[in-house]
Amino acid sequence: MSPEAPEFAVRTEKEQVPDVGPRVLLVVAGDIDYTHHEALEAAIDHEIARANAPLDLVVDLAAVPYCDSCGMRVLLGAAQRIDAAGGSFGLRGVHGQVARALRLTGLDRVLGVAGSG
Amino acid sequence: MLAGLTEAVLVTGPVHPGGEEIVHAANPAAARLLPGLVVGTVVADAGYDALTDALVRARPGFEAEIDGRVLAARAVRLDEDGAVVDALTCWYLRDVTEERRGSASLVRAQARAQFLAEAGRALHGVLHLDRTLRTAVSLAAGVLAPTVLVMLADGSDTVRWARADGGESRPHTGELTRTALRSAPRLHEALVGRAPVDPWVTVELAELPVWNERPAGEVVVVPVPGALVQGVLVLVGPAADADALPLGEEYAVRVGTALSAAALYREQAHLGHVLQASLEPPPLPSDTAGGLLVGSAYRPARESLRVGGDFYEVLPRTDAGRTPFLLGDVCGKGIEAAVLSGRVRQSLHALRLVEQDPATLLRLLNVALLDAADLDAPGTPGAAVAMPRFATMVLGDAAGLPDGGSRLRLATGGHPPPYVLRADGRVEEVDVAGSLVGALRDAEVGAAEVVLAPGDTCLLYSDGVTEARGGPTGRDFYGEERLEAALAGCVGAPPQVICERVLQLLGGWLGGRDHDDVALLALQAPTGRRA
Repeated sequence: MSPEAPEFAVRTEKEQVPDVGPRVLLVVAGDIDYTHHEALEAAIDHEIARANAPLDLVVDLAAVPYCDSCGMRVLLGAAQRIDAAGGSFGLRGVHGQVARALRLTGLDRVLGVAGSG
Repeated sequence: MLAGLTEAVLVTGPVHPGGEEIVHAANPAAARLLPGLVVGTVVADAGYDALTDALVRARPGFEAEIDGRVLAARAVRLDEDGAVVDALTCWYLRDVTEERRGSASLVRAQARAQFLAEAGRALHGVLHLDRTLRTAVSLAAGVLAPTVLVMLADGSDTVRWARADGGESRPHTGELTRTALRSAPRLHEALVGRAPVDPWVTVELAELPVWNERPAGEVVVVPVPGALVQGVLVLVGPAADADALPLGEEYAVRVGTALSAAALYREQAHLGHVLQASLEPPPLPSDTAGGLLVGSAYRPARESLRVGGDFYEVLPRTDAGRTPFLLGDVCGKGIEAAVLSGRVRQSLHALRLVEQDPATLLRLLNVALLDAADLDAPGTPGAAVAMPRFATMVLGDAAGLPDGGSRLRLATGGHPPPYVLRADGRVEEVDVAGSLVGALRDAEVGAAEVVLAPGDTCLLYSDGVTEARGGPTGRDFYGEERLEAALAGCVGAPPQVICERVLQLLGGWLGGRDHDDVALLALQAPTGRRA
């Protein structure tokens, strides 16, 4: 009857943005919550650690139905660290509860949110 | 020919058919093992009963202790078909003393290993300090020594002890105060691991009030090592065998591990209780706080370490005639959340001494939390970007109006906006929004004023309500619409009933699934005019 919670996964993709340069895309699937936020944090840390130039990171949340305060903390922390290092951080595919939570917390303007449209 | 064999060989046979067995031949090796045998003499006269007996009964061999050595003998009849009655018997003898001793010690080693394994199993998972202590002495009494005592120092002011006297079923337990231990300084040093066990410890031990009768016989003291607890294992009485001491030491290691696990568990359980208690919302002042009716409900996450930082409070009316209140939520879970929630509440209590306006309070709180986070971060501010810590909240105050209604000043940072349930059943969402508190230097604080007419209710809630997952699929959010509908169904109810009704509906939605913290605070302007 009730479908199981989808598995949590983070997939890394590389994109070449014309006139900008390489961009790292982290495609997240599943809830970013107390149980899973550390996996996302580890994936982001890994990209920050291996970037030898200011990192252009985009996190795709199109397959993320839920993000709690632990998850928002990871996203905000990533944005602050990457910004401090001269890189850029953005979110895309934001929708549903995640969109509402980011709007309520005012993080939508800080995290460079682009919707799923 | 026989002389060249290293194996001991003996040949016996009757003098004549049916006659007495005499020694026909014995090689030097056989003569060494059975020096009483002389070639040509009667076997029985040599007095080796086991050999005589084996011959008479025509046994295929024997094993016997002879002159302190264990001999194994195998007989081979030298008649091919067994028909000849005066056939010779050839005995192959072997000294198996060492072998047998070896296997006896093997058996003992196996018994030791089995005892230790069983003791380990019995001690493991008791996770209760006194029970572990009692189990430790009960298991060992009668095995390691007739009487076994364990004394334990766990960092507290007293030393616990348990003693089992083999044969008695119930171990005796007790505690020694620091004063009692003053007469046993060496033991005290050994107990806390500051000094090795020396003979004086044994002398001091005998004087302590931990015995039924003064220990008689051998007393062996073995240190019990442990990370959180330390102690000694005392074996009293004649040791079972020479391996008692190494076995005792091995046992002490297992006892130490079990006691440390029990102590650790106790510490964690204590920490969990402290944590839970610190997160528990304080009781609301009264059902009428400054002319306001208040109600609340709090349902912490089931798993204690998942308990987040939902908090709310309603404070006594200020001199300015305002009743401050707040409901908030800190990021993270468990101890970290408890610490942050404490910092938020204490900061607010301090800031309220100098500022009353909710929006200004929230801005000050944002700065205070950011400054505190900078102090926490290693190195100079800004150099290391620490993980952000933040809270979301709605805070405000209420002032009574002449008609019995109430004027609320609200400020919000990153929190779901409150609802107002009008006395006629309409549900309105208060249009107020702001950003997270404690994470951003340029935080936006939302501010709003709401007038509650008599019978109107303002509901503050944490996102644990709207983000509770359940329903038919088990994955759907409770959401705003259901909350609004639930609220609309509460018209006319007092605020405490409203909170409990929402919690009840939410429980039905969750259907037993785990959830994050849920907090609700309802403020209602009373309908009847009050004196």
